[in-house]
Amino acid sequence: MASREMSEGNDAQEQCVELLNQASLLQDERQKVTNLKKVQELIIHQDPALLDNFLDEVVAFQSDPSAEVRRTVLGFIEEACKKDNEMIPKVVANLGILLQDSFSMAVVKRTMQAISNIYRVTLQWLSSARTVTEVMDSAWSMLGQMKRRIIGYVDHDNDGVRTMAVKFMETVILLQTFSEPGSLKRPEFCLDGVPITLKIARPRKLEEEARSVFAQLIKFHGSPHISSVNLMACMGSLTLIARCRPSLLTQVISALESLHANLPPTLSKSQVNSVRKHMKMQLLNLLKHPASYDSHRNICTLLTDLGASQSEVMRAMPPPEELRKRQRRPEEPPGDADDDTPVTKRQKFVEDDDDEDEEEEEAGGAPPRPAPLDKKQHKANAIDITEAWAFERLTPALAANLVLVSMHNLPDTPPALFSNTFTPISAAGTSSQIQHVARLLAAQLTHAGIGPGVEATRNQGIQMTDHDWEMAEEEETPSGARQPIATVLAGTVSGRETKKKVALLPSGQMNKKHMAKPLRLPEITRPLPADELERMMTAALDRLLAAERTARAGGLAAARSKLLAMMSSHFTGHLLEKMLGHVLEDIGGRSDLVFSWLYEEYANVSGFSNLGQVVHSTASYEQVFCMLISALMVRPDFKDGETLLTRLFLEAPLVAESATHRQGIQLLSQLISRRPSKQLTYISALLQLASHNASEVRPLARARPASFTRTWVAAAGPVLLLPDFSCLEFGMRLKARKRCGRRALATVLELHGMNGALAAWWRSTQSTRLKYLRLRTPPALLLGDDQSAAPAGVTLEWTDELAKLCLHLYLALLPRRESLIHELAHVYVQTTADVKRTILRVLEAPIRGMGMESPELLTLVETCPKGAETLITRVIHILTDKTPPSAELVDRVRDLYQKRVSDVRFLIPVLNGLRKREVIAALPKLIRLNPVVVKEVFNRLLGIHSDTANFSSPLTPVELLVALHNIDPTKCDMKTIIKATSLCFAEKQVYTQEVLAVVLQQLMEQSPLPVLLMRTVIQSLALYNRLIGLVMNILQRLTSKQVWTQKKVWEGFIKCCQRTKPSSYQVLLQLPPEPLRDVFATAPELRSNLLDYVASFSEAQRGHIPTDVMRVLNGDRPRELADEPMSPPEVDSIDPVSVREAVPPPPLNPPRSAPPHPRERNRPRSRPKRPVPAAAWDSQFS
Amino acid sequence: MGLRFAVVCSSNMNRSMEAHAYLSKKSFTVQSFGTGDKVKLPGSAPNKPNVYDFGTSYESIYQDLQDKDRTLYTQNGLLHMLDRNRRIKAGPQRLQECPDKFDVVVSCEERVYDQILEMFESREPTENTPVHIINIDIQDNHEEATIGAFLICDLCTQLEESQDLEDDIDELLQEFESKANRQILHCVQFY
Repeated sequence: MASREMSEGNDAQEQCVELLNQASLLQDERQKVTNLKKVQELIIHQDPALLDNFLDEVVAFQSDPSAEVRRTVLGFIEEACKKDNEMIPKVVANLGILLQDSFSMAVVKRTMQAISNIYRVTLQWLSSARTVTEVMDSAWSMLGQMKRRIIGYVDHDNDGVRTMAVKFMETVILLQTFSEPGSLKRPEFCLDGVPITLKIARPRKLEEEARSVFAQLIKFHGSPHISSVNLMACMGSLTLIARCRPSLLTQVISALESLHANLPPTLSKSQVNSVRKHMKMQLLNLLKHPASYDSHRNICTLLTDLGASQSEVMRAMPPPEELRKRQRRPEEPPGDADDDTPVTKRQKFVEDDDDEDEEEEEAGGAPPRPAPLDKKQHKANAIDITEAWAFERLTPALAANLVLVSMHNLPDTPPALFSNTFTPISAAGTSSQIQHVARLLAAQLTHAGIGPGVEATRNQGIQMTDHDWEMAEEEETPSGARQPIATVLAGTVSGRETKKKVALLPSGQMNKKHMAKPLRLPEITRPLPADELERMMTAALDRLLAAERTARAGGLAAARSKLLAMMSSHFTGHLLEKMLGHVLEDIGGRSDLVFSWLYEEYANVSGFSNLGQVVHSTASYEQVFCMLISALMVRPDFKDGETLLTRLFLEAPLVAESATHRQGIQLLSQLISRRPSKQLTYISALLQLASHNASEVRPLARARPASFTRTWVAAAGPVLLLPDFSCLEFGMRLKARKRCGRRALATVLELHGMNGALAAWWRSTQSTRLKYLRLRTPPALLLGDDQSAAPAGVTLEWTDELAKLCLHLYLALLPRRESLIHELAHVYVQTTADVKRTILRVLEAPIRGMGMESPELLTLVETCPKGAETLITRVIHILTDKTPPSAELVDRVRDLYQKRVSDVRFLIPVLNGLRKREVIAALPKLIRLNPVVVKEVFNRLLGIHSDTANFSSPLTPVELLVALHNIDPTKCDMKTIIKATSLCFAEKQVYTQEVLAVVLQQLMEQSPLPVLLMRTVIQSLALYNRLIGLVMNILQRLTSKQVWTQKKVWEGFIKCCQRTKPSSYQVLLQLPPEPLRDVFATAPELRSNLLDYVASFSEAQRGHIPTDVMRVLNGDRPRELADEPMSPPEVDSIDPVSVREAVPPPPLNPPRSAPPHPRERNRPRSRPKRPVPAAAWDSQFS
Repeated sequence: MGLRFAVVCSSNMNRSMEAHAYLSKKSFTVQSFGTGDKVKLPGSAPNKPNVYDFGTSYESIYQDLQDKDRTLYTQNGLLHMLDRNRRIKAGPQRLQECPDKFDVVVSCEERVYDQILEMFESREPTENTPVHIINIDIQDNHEEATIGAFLICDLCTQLEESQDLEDDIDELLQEFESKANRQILHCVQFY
């Protein structure tokens, strides 16, 4: 027998060894778990003796990577502890490790579950042990630590962990309270079994703790953002607690009531349904419990609200006989373990309830109770007091008023939560319903921290229960309680009519005997009056500030600085100033203090502060920061402060955004490179400064000198380093501004070159700014001090200055980043005419900076957007203003001209780069342009105003004038051409006598003769008299060319002859008779002149004149020609040259023409007068 | 380790069995139950249902109905349903009598959900292991049962895939609700 047991034991041991060895080698977690489960079975249920041997081996698996295995180990530990309490001390530390498992929440939850069991087992073990060893002691204290940690987990991030924490709290509460009569019978161990002599776990302390945990649970239950799972777990736990510890029942019910009135707003519709259903279930459960008899009224009202039917409620009620039994029970002596609280509570109710029956809820006919309130008011909790107070006042009139008043606060549509939970009020107007409304009101009022109940409870001071303290504490933070009140009222108050006095249901917890409480500072202290507080703070600060030397001598400088920093971060008003003054007294020596101050502020902002209060706004940090900066800036000993200022910006934990306005440009550029995270802010500030360069002319900025100048002065301050800081007052601001702007601009450009990423960002900023130009009116942003809006009612127009403001920095960047030009072209297209003008005007410098070789410019010319032609023309103009165009540019322009925009104006700037043929082809179009432009064209072509050194034109002046004459009259009307030629004639330096001579020669050679030939001849002659010889020559040659065949030229010929008489007589005489007759018809005075001239001839000379010519001279009609005897037959064979030689050179001043011949004078008179057909000619020449 | 699912309807005949069949086909760890006092099946007239005790096997119910009116029960699909059920397990089981523990219990009707809650409330939790009770309303006919089974499978797949069920379940259920466009009830209870 013994040997078989032995062998069994050995078997089990061997099996365990085998299984564990396998498990340690196995990879698959399932198999591992199976093995461990087998071992657990073997050790715990078959052979507990092995437990001691294998505990370590099994527990070693707690470091297994698989969460499932770790959970199995926890199961083992739990079982082991239950089986053999001696194991507890050995595994407690392991539990501690597992509880902090960072990899798997499942393990943490399982650990919490295990600990709750082990905790109970441990207390039981301690209670039953005869002596408490040190090991037990330390195990218990470790468990205590874990317990506190787990309770703290109620605020954990993980929903499941919170749920487990709730269950753990439930266990702790149930374990650490005494059982009560009438409570649910549970086999579980509880405080009853703990001997009062147990030193390390005093029952009183344990119960105390349980109550505070209970208060925490209630608080968690009422927290506004609880998840639905947590909420339901919490309700379940509370109900269980209430059923097991009836003394806590009233608190649980009021918690449920308060929950019902204020369901967490975060719940979804179906979650609300689930929660309400769950609550209903819990309430029915409570209703079944005999101890809930006192609260039946509240429970039933709640249940009705939750939609429970009457039959359901009745079914859940304990049978009447039990109720009766319960009513009788108070007469019986209370049980031993019971403290006397329930007794008093019940006694009170016996008095009140004598005349009540369980029908009252449905009948609503509860008879009035004789004021039980006064008697027991001190025992009632805040809600009860307020409820009674409200109930007394709830008349229909007041109810109506409340509804009316709260109407304003009602949302337009009922919130989902309300419409979801609203159930029509079945028992409206009954006293029970009024009571219920009063209670709802009371719950809300108490929650908001108002009403007589709260005051009464507050007066009770230290006697208040934990729960009530929670409420009183919440009073500090009234959390929008008014809205819920209104809603509840509006929903529930509607049909109430009667007013009845019903006794309060007192709470049980006040009857508990109050034991020593842990010290809670806020409970026993009262806030100091404000003035006293301030006085004391000032005094403390003064002392600390005065103690600088003492502290340093005593080696406590660091402590002092820390203390000061801590205090300063809570300072306001003049204390802050005092502190600041202290710091500024010795900036160098106290910079450490400054930084610890700033860091303290920063810690507050970021929630690192150990004072527990987290200020989420950076306002106070910024305030201090800016205060320091501005103080440093206005210091006369600025140079000392400058290092600190630099340090402030570079070393402070956070640079306040509002402080960036105050920064100097040097600082800015340093900051940009050293504090990349805030780069953008600095850059904006810098750009802002840089853009203001143009703003000295800004009228609107002048209107706001104060803010504007402050910025500028501040900005300029560190840069100018001011020996003459005081000069930088308002009077000097213009100069300073300019300097500052230039400086900023330089910095921007420098940084732009250094940092590619920044450059890109800037470009985009500037593009945005540029795009403002597209707007109809300038954006408000540009006006005033950048941030301030335009004065109301003033419509804004783009002015030169505003447009420049937008362009300034952009244009400055342009030579460095030429690709930006494309953007400008696109924006240009969309701007208004005024802005266009401004752009064109300011474009000169940057474009000149870019130069003609810039590939981007060439691309721009190539891809000129529609509408930007004027811009392009302007660009090309600027480029070619002083220098001849480069071949590329010419190519691009030509290309553009030929393919896309046939606007001849494009060609003007590059005319000199074009080929002769092209220029000539373009001429007709060019001369049609506005006279000023045509003048410019000629200037370019003729090289007027340009550097003669490198001037080269495709056309010589001669060619130009010739080309003008050869323009096809169909392409261009005569008038325009005439104007163009006169422009040429105006340029006397270019068109000298010689040049014109060449021109005339060339023109003469042409056939047919250019229309304008004669006009040009006349003009040339008018300019240069000495050309007369040439002109005569021309005229003669024209006669030989039968000039009379070309009507226009012929008319010109005649006119020319008129002008050039008497020299032209010689030529006229050489004309054949018919043309001559024509001449005389046009200009009759010539005939007599010519006649006189011939009369002065010698006989021999006269003989050379053909007879028919003579006849014409003498005015004979053509028909008389036949009768004329002197007609020489050789007329047609006369050699013009010989005639010319024969004729003496015409005198410059022909005196002979002055006295007209007497014969001639008569002849014309005798001739019939013919009309002079000069009108057409004149019109052409005018 | 997969989650342990239970699907529950009133009689453990149609809805829960349909879901049971479908889920086990998808290799979930699943059991099915009823919560009623008796197993009730439609009879020859509305006021004459066929009533059996829990514990009667599907096989014997099948035989019984076949004997009573073969054509009627073939026509209304009962025999076919029972035939499927008897291939899955022996007979209807009652949740209240089951000692097994689950992670998720899915009920097919609000009344059943209530009964489940009542059952848990009447028990004393000992080890505090949480169990999620979820209700999806499914009408008690063949078509709805099939659709319901798909829905339940959808939901179970999502729950199964969750790394931390307790933490995710609220969100998963809300998502499921809006996707399936059905109101669901959910609460947590403890073993």
